[in-house]
Amino acid sequence: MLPFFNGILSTSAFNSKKNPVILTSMDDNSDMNFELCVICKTSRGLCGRKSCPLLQNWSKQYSIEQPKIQNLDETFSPPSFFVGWTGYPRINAGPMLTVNRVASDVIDNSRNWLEKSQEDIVKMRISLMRTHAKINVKRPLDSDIVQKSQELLLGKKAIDVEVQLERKIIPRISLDERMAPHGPIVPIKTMDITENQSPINAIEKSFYDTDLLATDAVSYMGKEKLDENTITRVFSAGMIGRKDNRKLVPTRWSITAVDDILSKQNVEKVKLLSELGEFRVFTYSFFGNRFVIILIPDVWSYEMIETWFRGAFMNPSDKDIAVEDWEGYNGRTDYASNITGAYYAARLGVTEYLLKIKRQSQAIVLREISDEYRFPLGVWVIRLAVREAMKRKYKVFDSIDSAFEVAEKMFDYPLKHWKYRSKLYDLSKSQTKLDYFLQVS
Amino acid sequence: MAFQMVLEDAKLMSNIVSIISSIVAESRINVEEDGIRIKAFDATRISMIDFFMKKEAFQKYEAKDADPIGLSLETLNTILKTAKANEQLRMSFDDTTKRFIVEFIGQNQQRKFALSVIDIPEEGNIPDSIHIEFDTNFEIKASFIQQVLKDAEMVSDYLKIRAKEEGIFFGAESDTKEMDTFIEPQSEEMETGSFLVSGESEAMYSLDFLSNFLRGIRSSDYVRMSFNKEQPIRLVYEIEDKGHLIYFVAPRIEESEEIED
Repeated sequence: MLPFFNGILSTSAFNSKKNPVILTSMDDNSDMNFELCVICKTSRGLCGRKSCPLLQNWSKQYSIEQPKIQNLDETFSPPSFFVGWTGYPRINAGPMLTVNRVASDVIDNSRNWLEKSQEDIVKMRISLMRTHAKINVKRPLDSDIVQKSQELLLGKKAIDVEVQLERKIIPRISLDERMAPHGPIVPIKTMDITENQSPINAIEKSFYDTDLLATDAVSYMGKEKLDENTITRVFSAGMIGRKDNRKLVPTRWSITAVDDILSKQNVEKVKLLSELGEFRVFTYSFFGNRFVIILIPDVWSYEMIETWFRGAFMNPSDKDIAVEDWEGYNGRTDYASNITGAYYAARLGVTEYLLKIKRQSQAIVLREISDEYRFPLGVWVIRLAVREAMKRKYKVFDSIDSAFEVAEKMFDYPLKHWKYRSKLYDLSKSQTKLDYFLQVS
Repeated sequence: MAFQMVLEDAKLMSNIVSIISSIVAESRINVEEDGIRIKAFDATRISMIDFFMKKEAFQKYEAKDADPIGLSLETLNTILKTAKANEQLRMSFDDTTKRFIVEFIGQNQQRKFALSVIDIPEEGNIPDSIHIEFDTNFEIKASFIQQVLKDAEMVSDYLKIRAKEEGIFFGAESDTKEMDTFIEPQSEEMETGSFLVSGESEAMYSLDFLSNFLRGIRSSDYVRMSFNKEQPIRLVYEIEDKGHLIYFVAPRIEESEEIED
C-alpha cells in the first residue's frame, strides 16, 4: 500500500510545528472556520460538512457557455477514464467521452496546455463528459464498462464508441484542486467499442505483465517517455500491478501517486550526483501562481511553501494563510498533508531539472497564489509551472540571504515571513556541519 | 583475503546495525586484525558514527589483510532483523563469489544470506576522532534520555541541553509549546560518579539526529554524553566489554536575529 493513502484517509490534522501564519486578524463571526480550507484543500472534510462548499461554489460561479448536448448519438473516447473517490471503496467510475474525435494528447495531456488561457482550458475540458457506473474498486473486472475502458486506455488515439446512458445530459462544470476540469456527469448503462485501439507498447507490456509491481510499472512507463497523464489513467483504471492487487484508484489519488513514484525514483538518482556549487534562483508566473525556486548547494532536501491570499479560491477566510511541507535527505515517511498534491507535482519538476544538470542540491519551491488564479484547474498547473520555471534563465547567488531577496521582488507576501516559514532556510542558517569543527580543532 | 567472524548473540549485532543503518544507508566496513570497525558521516555531514567491536567479543575471528567492503547497511539491517534469540551469527566474505555471507546458526539448523558488495569510495576527511575538551560529561540511563527525546519531539525539532553543577536541564520550545526536564547527579538514572560539569554550558542539537542514535539503545543501558557550548555533542555507548558506538552531532547555532512584525 502506498504511504499517502493512509495519509489521505487519516484525519490527523496539522503535523507542522508551526501553525499557519495569519497576517491579519479580524473577528470571525461565522460559525465555520474557513481558515481550515487551505489545509483541507476540499478533500478532508475538516469543516465537518458532508460535501465541500468550495467545490460546489466554484462550479456554480463559473459562467461559461455550456455545450448543449442531451444525448450522445455519436461519441468518442479520447481515451480517458475517471475514478471518483466519494464512497470509497464503492465508487463511481467510467470512461470520459466527447462528441468530437479529439485525441487524449490534446484534451487530456496537460503538458500541451502551456499556451492556453484559463478559459481555453475550461472550455476545452467541459466538452469532456464523465460517465460513471457504481464499481467496487477491488473487483474492477466485474464491470463490463471497466473491461472495455481498459481496452481503450491501451493507446492514446480517440476511439469510436457506442454508449447507452441512464438519463439525459445536464450541462455542468466540475472544478477541482487536484484534477483538471471536466464537463457533465452522467450514469452509463452499456458501452461498445466499434473501432480498434492502437496500443502503445509500454502500456501493453505493463498491462499484460501481472507480476510487475505497480510502482515498477509506473517507473517503466516513465522511462519509456509516457507523459504522467497517460500513466495516471492507466494507474487509476487498475491496469498495472500484480494480478491480485489490481484495483481502481480514484483519479485524484492516482495523480499524486504517479507524481510521488516518479519523483521519488528521480530523488534516488539525484542523490548519486555531485553537489551544485552555487545558489540558483528561478522565477515564473502562471495563471496568477507566482513561483520562486531556490536551489541551495548541499545534499538533496526539498521544501515547498504556499501562501494563499485571502480571496484566493482555496482561501475563503479573511486572512492570508501560508502552509509548508518539507523533507530531509532521507525523505518523508508520511504524506505531505499541508500542501498535498502540489508538493509531489513540484518535486517531480525539480528532480527532472537536477537530473538534467546532473547535480544534487536542496530545493525550495515558494508559491504565492493571487486572485488572478480564479478557479482551480488541477495540480498539473504546478507541475507545468515548475518545469517552465526551470527551463528559463536563472540567477546565481553566493548566499542564501541574497538568493531569498528574489522572493522580495517577486512576491507580495513579505520576505521575512517566507524565511520564517522555511525549514531549509533555518537549517542553512543555524545547523552547523561537523566539517566546520574538524577544521577548527 | 577473506574473513570470517562468529558472534554468540546474533541479536546484539542486529541491534547495532539497526542504529548505524538509521544514520548511514551504506558504508564501508573495515575488518581489521583487532576487530571490526565502521566510521562514517551521514549524508548531510551533520553527524558521524564510529563503531568498533574488538575481536575478543567474537567466538571466532579471522581477518588478515582483509580489504574493506562496501555494504548497504539498510539491506543488512533487514536481514539481521530476522535474528532469533538463540541464534549465533556468522559473517564472512566469499572470495570466489565476492559476496558477503550472513549465516544464522541455531540448534541443528542454519539460515544463510549472501549479499553483493557495493563500491563505495573511501571517504576523505574522516578523522580518527574528534578531539574536544568537554566541559560537560555525564552518563545517563538510555530510558531516561529516550523519554526526554519523545517529550521534546512533541514540541520542537531541537533539544536544548543546559549543564550546571546542580544538574542537567533538557528543554525544547516552539511558538506555542515548551517542555523542560531536569535531572540531578544523584538521580538513580544518572551514574553519579561520571558527572563532571565545569561551569555552565548550553547547546542545541537536532532531535532527528539524536533520536536516530539513541532510540535503538537498550533502555536499561547507559549512554555517556559530553558537550560544550556551540560545539558538537558526543554520545558514547559502550557495548558491554565488547566495543563501542560513538556518535557526534554538530550543534545548532542560532544567530540572535528576531523577526519583527
